[in-house]
Amino acid sequence: MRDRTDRYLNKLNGVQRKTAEMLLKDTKPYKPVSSVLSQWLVWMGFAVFVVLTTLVFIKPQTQLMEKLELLPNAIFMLLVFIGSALSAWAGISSSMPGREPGLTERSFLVGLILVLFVFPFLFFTPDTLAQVWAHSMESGWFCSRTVVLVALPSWLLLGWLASQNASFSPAWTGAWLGISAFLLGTGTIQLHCEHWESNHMFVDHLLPMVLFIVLPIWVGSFWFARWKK
Amino acid sequence: MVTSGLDRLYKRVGTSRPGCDLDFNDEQWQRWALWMRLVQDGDTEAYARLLSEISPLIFNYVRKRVFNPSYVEDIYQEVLLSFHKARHTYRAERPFSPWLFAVVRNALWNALNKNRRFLEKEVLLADLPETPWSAPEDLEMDGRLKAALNSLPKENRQAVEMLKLKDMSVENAAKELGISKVAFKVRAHRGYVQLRKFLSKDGPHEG
Repeated sequence: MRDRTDRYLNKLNGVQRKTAEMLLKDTKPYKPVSSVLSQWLVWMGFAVFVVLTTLVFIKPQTQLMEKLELLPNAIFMLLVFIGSALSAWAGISSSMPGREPGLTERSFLVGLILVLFVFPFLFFTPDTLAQVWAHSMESGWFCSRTVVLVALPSWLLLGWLASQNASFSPAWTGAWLGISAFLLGTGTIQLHCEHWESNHMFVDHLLPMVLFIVLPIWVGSFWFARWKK
Repeated sequence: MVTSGLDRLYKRVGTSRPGCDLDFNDEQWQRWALWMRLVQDGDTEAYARLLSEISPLIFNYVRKRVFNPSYVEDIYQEVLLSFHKARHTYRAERPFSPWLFAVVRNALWNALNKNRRFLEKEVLLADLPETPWSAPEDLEMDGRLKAALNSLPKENRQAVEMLKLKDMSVENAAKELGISKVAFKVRAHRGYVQLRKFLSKDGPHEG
C-alpha cells in the first residue's frame, strides 16, 4: 500500500508530502453527515413535539382561535415560528462548509428578528410597565420561565446536530441556534398566554432571548469548535 | 457543475501553479468528487491521489495570502488538517468545488486570525528591551525576571528558555521536544503572556 501511495505523493514537495503522509495514516471509513434538510426536518419534528407536549401541560388559551382571526396576531405568530425555523436552518447550514448563509440571508433574518421586536409596539394594545411587573410577580415569571424551558430541549437537539458538522464560525452557529430555540419558546407561550399586550409580550416573551442569547453564543463557541480538536 | 466565484478563483490560483497543466473542467472536479466518495469508504489510494492533486493547489492558495514566508508552511498544514477533519461534511450528491473552497477559505481565515494575534503578542514581547534575555548569567542578576520565569508552568518556561535564552530556532526546539512547530509556538506564546502579566503586575524594575 505504501508503494502505491508513494507513487502519487512523490510529486509533492517536502511539507506537502509530509502533511499528506500524516493524513494518510487516518483513512478509516467514515459516514458523511446528513444533509442540512434532513437535520432541519429532524429538528422540525422535535420542535412540533416539544410545542405540543408543552401545550398539553400548560393548555392553549381558550380564545386562541378568535385572536388568530385578527390579521396582526396571525402575522406575529407566523413570523415567530418562521423566524425560529429559518434560524434553525441558518444555524445548521452555518455548520456545514459551503452551505453557510450569505449576507443576504443573514440580513433578512436579522431584519425579521428586529421586526418581531417592534411588532408588538405597533399592533398590540399597550400596557404599562407597572402592569407587566405586577403580572410577572403574580405568576412568578411564568411566561419567561416557559420560554426558557421550551428553548432548552430544542437548543440541545440543534446543538447536538450542529456539533456533528464542522462549523468554522461556532459563535454564529450558536447565535442562530439560540435565536431559533428562544423563538420557539416565544411562540409556544404566545399560544398559552392571554396577555397579548405590547409591553408584556416584549418583556416576558421576547426579552429572555435578548438576556440569555449570550449563553448559546458562548457555549457554541466551544461546543461547535470541538471538531477541530 | 456549479460555476461560482470560488471556482473562478480556484482556476486563477491553479493555473499559476508552475509546471502544472490544470484544466478545471467538470471531469476533473468529478474525479475528485469520486475520490472523496472512495475516501469515505477508507480507500487510502484514492486519498493519496486526491491529496497529490489538491495539495499543491491549496499550498499556492495559502502562499498567495500569507505574506510572511515563515508562516506559510505552518498555516498550510493547519488548513489541510482542517480539510481532513471536516471531510465528513462533504456529501457526494453536492458539487465538490464549493465545499473544498469553503473549507480552505475558512480554515485559512481562522489560521490567519490566530497567527495574527500570535504575531502581535510577539511584537509586544520584543518591546521589553531592558530585560536581559541574552545570557543565563545575566538572568542571575535579575531576580524579578527569574521569579517570573519560575512562575511559569514547566512546558511554557521550557519553550521560552529555548527560544530566548538558548537562541534556538522554533523548528529545532520543536524537534527536540518532539512536538509540532505550531504546538511549540503556542507553548511559547502562553509563556510570554504569563511573563508579561507577572512583570506588569510586579511593577517597574528597580534594579
